[in-house]
Amino acid sequence: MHETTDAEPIPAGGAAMNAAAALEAVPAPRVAEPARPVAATVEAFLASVERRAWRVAEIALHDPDEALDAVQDAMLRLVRHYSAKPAEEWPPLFWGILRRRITDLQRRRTVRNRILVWTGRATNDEGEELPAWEAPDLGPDPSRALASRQAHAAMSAAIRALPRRQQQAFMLRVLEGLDVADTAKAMGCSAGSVKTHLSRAMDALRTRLEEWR
Amino acid sequence: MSKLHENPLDDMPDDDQVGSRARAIFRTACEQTDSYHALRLGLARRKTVNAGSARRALKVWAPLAGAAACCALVMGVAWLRPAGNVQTSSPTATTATVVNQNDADEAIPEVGSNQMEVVQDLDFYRWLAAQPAMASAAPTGSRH
Repeated sequence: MHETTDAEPIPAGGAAMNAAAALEAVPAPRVAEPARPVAATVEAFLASVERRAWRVAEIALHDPDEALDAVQDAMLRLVRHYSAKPAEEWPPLFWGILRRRITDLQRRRTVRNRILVWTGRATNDEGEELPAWEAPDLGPDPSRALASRQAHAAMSAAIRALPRRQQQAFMLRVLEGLDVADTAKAMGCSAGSVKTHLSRAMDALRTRLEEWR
Repeated sequence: MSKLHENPLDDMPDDDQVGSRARAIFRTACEQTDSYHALRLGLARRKTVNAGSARRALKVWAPLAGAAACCALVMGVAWLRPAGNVQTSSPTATTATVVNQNDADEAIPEVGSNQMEVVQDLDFYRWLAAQPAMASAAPTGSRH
């Protein structure tokens, strides 16, 4: 049974073709990613994880500034409440905090859109329904014309098209590289659920890749 | 002494092109983060760490400062209390002494008993004692 909540529409065909080209432009690595050392201090840990965290939040929220706020909030909560914990526990704690923050922001955005529709502010003077608020789509421009950036944008769109739990499982497990136990801890569910969500996410992305081809 | 994580991708299929490609794209995107956002991330991290340090320092020093303030208060009370007793007791004692002396002279007797007769007698004797001239003049006059 697929989750249907929080699924966003998949971009139209033209964008998908560009995304396919962009995705194909980046070669797949053949060597496994090296294991990451455990950070000695909380600052070193945050320095090592901040860019990936921001990218993950940006993929989920589709807004760089909101993503930055979410990452900063997660950093602050980790430092305030969990800096005394062993360093091995920081990654799942941090990613769990960030996941909850992202979910809160997504829900807030959904509620805001519903209120706009309910109060009638989502229609113009002629009664036509305005599109729900979404973060500005920066889109590819000359400064972002590099293939890797297009590939990232395409991948972000494909991930955003997944249901929320599948997004989280894919980003934590595949992109961030947490193991199953840490991913389960960060997502607040069992290891079996992580595998299920991840399997569905991979299937959906594989399907998307077929569509792009 | 850095402990290494287990291979996080141990149960991922090796031939999964989607995951590998997504990881490569993600890693490239992280490495190519624009300088504006990288700077903002660094500032946010430093601000967070400084806030955490200040909070930790407050956690350490606040109980110590509180304990020192309590000690100072207790010592101050203990030092001031004997001096306060002396100051309050000596005027009281002095006043009590004066009152007792006055009471000896002007004690008010109870009314409605035989003591009133004694008081009247005392008044009479006082008045009599205050008349030395008359007492001494009467015998002299009678002799003449």
